[in-house]
Amino acid sequence: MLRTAAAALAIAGILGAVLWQGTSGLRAFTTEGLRRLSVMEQPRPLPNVRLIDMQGRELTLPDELGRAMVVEFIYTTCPTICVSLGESFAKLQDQIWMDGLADRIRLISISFDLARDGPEALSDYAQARGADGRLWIAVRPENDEALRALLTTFGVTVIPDGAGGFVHNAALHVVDRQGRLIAIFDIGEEPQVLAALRRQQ
Amino acid sequence: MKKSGATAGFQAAAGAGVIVALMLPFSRGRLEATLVGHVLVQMPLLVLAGWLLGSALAEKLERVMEQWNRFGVAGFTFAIFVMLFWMVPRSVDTAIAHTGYEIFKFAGLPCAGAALALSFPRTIPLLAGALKAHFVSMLAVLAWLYTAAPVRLCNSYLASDQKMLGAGTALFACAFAIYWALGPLFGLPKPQPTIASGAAAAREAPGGARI
Repeated sequence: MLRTAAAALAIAGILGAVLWQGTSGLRAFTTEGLRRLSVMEQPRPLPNVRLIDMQGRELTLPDELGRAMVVEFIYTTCPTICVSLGESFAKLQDQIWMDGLADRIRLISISFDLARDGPEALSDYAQARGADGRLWIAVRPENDEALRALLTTFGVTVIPDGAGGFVHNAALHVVDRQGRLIAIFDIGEEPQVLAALRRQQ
Repeated sequence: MKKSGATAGFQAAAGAGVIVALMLPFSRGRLEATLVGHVLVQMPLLVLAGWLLGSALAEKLERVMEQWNRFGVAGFTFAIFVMLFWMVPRSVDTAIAHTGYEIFKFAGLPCAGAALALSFPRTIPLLAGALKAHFVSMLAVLAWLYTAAPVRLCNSYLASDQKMLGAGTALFACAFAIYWALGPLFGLPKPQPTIASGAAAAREAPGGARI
C-alpha cells in the first residue's frame, strides 16, 4: 500500500503542477481569461504594421505613438456584436471630447475582413457609427501578413460563423502611449476604459 | 475469468487502431472542427482506445499493478487529473493552436483510459460507486455550464456549438447514469468479482473483470 500511496502522491503532484500551469495558477480557465491576465501582467508591444484608413491613406501604428489608444476589431458587414462595439466606441468618443483629451487619444476600429473592407466600406461604417475621423478612425491592415501579426499580438481569434460572417472575441483593447497593449475590457466597461486612459495622461 | 491471448491481442489491436484512425489529418480536422466532435467524440474515443489497450495489458502488468496500484488508487488519481485538465475550456482551445497540447491530448487521454481499465477491476465497490456518482454529477454540471454560460468559453468555437456541447454532455450524463443504475437495479450487467481482496484472488482472475 505504501508504494501505491507514493505513486498516487507523485502522480497528483506532477499532474497537479501541469493543471496549475495550464490554468495560470487556477486564475485563467479560458483563452480569453488568459489573454486578459497576461496583457495586464506583461504589456505587449504592438507590431509595426501598415494600415489603410477610410480615406485610403496609409498609416502605421507607431505613427500614433504618443497617444493612448483604444482598439477594437470589426468587419463592416457585421450585424451583431460590432454594433454594440460601435455604441461602446461612440460613448467613449463623446466622453473623451468632453474631457478635452481628443488630441491625445485615438479610437481605432480595425477591420479583419480584408476581402470586403476597402476604404469605401470603412468610410460608410465610420459614418454609420458616428466616427468623427479625427479622434475615432476606421482602418484595415495593408495585407494578410499585417493582419496576422495584429491578431496574434492582440490574441484575437476570428472564425467564420457559417453564414458569411465572422465570430471573434470582441473587446476594448487599451494601448498606452508607448504603443503597448496594457489592458482588455468587455463591452460595457467604458468607465474602466476611460479610467485606464486617464491614467495615461 | 482468465482472458485468452487472442482476446488481449484483439483488444490491443482495436485500441491502437482507434488511436491511429483519430490521428489521421482527415478525422482530426473533421472532429476538431466542432466542439461536439472534439470533446464528445474524439476525446472519449481516445479514452476508450486507452481502456482497450489497458485491458489487453492487464495480465502483463499484474505484478506491477499489485504493488503500485492497490485498489486502483494511483490509476484513478492519474485518470482524474488528466480528465480535469481536459475539462478546462482553455485546454480545448489550446489543443487546436499548439502542437504540444495536441500531443499531450493524444498521449494523455489514452493513458487515462488505460489507467481506468487497470484500476476499476482492482478497486472496492464503494470507491467505484463513489467515482461513478461523481463522474455523472460532474458531467451534469458541465452540461449546465455549457448550456447556460452567457459568454463563449472557447475562442475557437461558435456559441451555438457550445450549446450543443451542453446538450450532448447532458445526454452523456443520462446515458452513464442509466447504464450504471441498470446493474444494481436489474442485475444487469452481471455482478463482477473483485480482485482487490488479495494477491491470491488476483492470480485467479487477472485483470479479467469488467465494469
